[in-house]
Formats: sequence, C-alpha cells, structure tokens
Amino acid sequence: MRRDVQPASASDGDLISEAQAGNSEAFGELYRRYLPQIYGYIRLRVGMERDAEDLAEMVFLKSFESIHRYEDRGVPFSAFLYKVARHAVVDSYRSRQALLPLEEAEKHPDEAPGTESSVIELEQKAEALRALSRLPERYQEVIRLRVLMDLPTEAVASWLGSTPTAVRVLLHRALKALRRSLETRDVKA
Amino acid sequence: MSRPDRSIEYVLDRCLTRVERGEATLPQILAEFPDLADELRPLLETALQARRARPSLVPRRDFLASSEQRVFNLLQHRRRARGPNAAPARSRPLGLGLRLAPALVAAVLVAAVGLGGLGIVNASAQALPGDGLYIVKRGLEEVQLALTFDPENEAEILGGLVDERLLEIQALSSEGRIEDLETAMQGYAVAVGRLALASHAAGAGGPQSVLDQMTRHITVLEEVQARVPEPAQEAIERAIERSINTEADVLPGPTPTADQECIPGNVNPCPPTIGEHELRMAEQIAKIYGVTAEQTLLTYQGECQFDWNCVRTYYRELTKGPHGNKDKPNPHP
Repeated sequence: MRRDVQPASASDGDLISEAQAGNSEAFGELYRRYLPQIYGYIRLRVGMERDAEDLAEMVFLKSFESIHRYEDRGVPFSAFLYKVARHAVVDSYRSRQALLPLEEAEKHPDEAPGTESSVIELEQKAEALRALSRLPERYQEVIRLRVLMDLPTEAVASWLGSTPTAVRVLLHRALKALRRSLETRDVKA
Repeated sequence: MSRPDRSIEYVLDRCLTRVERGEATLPQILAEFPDLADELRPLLETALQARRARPSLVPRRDFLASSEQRVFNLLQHRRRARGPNAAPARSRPLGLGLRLAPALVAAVLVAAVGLGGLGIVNASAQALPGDGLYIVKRGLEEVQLALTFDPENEAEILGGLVDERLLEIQALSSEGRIEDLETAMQGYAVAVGRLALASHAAGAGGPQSVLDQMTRHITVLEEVQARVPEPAQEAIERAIERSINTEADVLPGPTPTADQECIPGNVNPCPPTIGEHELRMAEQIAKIYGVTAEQTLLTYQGECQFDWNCVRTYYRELTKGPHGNKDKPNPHP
C-alpha cells in the first residue's frame, strides 16, 4: 500500500519512489526543490537567460522520463540531475551553434553602462569569465560549483563523483590557475 | 582528539565557506591564518572576483510560475505518445489537478462565460496581448489542448497556436502597440518550443511541417521587424533566432564530430561535419532568401563558422540590397 507522503517535508527517496509510481505531486515537489540549483548551474554555462530556461526545462523533462531507471546508490538525486544538465549543455553546444557561452554574452551586456566606473566593472567581469573559460574543464567546473554556486564541498564531491578531500585539492589548483590566467591577461593588456 | 587540518587546501575551503556565509571579511580571515595569509590572499581575492562576475542565478519569477506546468504537460504528452509501454503512471495522477489548475480554472471560466453568453467567447478570439479578454482566449486554448489526447491532433493544434501568436505579433505591430509586443514574443517563443517537442511525438510528417511553418514565419517576422522601432526589433530578432533553433532542433541530430571530448569554451570547440541535418538546414534557409542550398552551406562553413543564425543574418542583409529589394544574391559565384 502506498504511504501518504507530504511532499514538502518528504525525503528525496520517498519522493522519488512516489514519482516512479507516477505521482505528479512528487514530481512537482522534486521540481520545485531542485529547479533553482539546476537552473543556476545551466545559467553559468550559457549566455542567454532564455536558453538557460529552455535547457532547465529540458533537463527535468528528460530526468522525469527516465526516473524509473534511477536507483539510490548513495548518489543524491541532485547529482543525477546535474549529470543530465551537464550533458544537456554540451549537447546543446554541439547541436545549436547559436547558443552563446556565458563569457561571450558578457561582452554585450543587456544594460548599457552609465558611467566610466561601470564600464570598467563590466569589463572586469567579462575578463574574469573569459579567464575562467581558458582553464581546463575540470578546473572550470569545480570553480562553478564551489565558488560561483556556493555549493558545499560535500555536495560538489557528490556531483562530481569525487571525495571532499579531492575537491579541496582540485579547487586549490583551479583557483591558482585562474589567478595565473587573470594575471597573464593583465600583463598582455 | 584529532588536530584540525591546517593544509592550505582545507583552510582555503573553510575560509571560502565563511566568506560565503558572511561570517567574516577577507582581512579578518587572513588575520586568523597569518602563516598562510600570503598564499590565501590571492586565492580568496580571485574567488571573490570570479563570484562578482557571475550573472544572477535566480530564475525569473515568470519562468518559475509557468515552467512547472509546461514541463508536466509535456511529460504527460510524451507518455501518451509512447502509449502502453510508457512508465507506469496513475490514470489520473493526483498532482495533475494542481499542475493543470490554470486549465481547470479556464474550464470553469468557459462554463461561466457560457452562462454569460457566447459573445464573450467570440470576442476573445480577436483579443491581443494586453487586451482584457486575452486571458479568456489563452484559457480556451489550454482547455482545448488539455482535452486532446492524440499526439498528432495536439501537434496540429499547437501548429495553429503558433500561427495565432504570429498573427498577434503582426496585429500589434500594425496597431503600433509596441509595449505589448514583448508579451506577444514570449507567447510566440513558448508556443514554438511546445510545437517542436510535440512534432517529435507526432512522428512522421511532424518535423517537416514544423520546418515549413518556421521557414514561413521567419519571412513574416523579418517583415514585421522592418516596421517596428529599434527596441522592439531586438525582441523580434530573438523570436527569429528561436525559429531557426527550432528548425535545427526538429531535424535529425547534427552530424557528430570525430572529437568526442570537445567541450564548449575550449579554444577548439567541436567543428561540425556536414551531413543530412546540415543539408536540410541549408535548404530551409535557402528557401527563405531565394538562394541555393550550396550557397548557404558554403556560408555556414566559411564566414559563419557553423552558426545558422549568422547564415540567416548574412543572407538577409544581402537580399535587402542597397534599396531594400530582394534581388537574388550571388555570394559564391
């Protein structure tokens, strides 16, 4: 017999079991619980807000369609969604050349800057994103998750299929590399 | 009792957490770790600089409000399209009531309108974004979709709705109601996205009819774009891009590249090879601008570096000519 699940307070495991049985309330709660994180991650990968929204919807659609295959083997549901999101971003870059990377979009911000200081600020932001994009993919990813998304180290480890210690080491190297990347650019400029 | 980890990796991680939580400022943190301060400072400064550069990661309120229902409608739609082999689901999922609440509200609205007279329903058919009766029109559309269970019928209805959104855009621009154009564009983008997904479920014939429809729409949208003031042109440009992307989406997947490890953002990102997908995209764009598919393909590989939106812009500019006429260009004699 099915247990009565209170969506808002239910654990991921309970919600997933319910969703696997076709309970749309459970789908809804999982959606509301994880949309902000998954949207945030995708937003860091693509330049246009609309593209991020489209991709986020697609990620949940794909994930919910294959939820019957999901098994909790110590990997949290958010990590499962993250993998789908990561693949969705890469696939989109392959298939839709119009998808603009974030660092490219920041060259042409939507709002026109008003003062000289805001122009400088915009350029600094764009340069930071360009410097990030020049790093190896693994470095970029750990900085996105740990620094830009403010995810706890343990969560980053589970998303990357790694350990917290390995994530700390990777982050240390990644930030050093980002620093070098920014400095190299400064010297050239 | 174990000693706290004083490795630079651990301390850096801890410091980042404290800065994230607003528990301490950078100078305070550095003062706590004087022996590591020289190494920590540039790394923390870099992290903060990167964080300042990030865009807002909070989804728009409009998107949050509408996306959940959209995803669930599509999920239901795809399940129906897959038929009896679909993943197990209750015949009437409990949550559907909540997720389809707007549709149910609309159904109630229809009943209420029915009591009040069919005149309102008829009048709403002409409503445009920004009109009082527009919500009735959209509600009726959702009811029609919610009551359609055959994927082919649904794709057909969605195709009609995309046409309707386009007519609304044309009407608003003719009436000079630029302030309502953005809403119309959003409605158009959503309708096109739903149509693309539904066309896959509808199976044979679906994608081709969507392709033809999008090709026709691009021509109309470009005409509208030429008539509206500059700020509105940008919104229409986004709609055109959406149409181009939809064409690319409904076609069979792009020809895979040999390099499986290519990652966006790399210096050398995934140059596509030319296959059926690219040929058909070239044909669609060629139809719009009255050029040959070979020409568009050459532009795609050459000047435009594998960007279909660039190809479209290229030929649009070219076909405008010095006097805005649509003489056939010959960019690659």
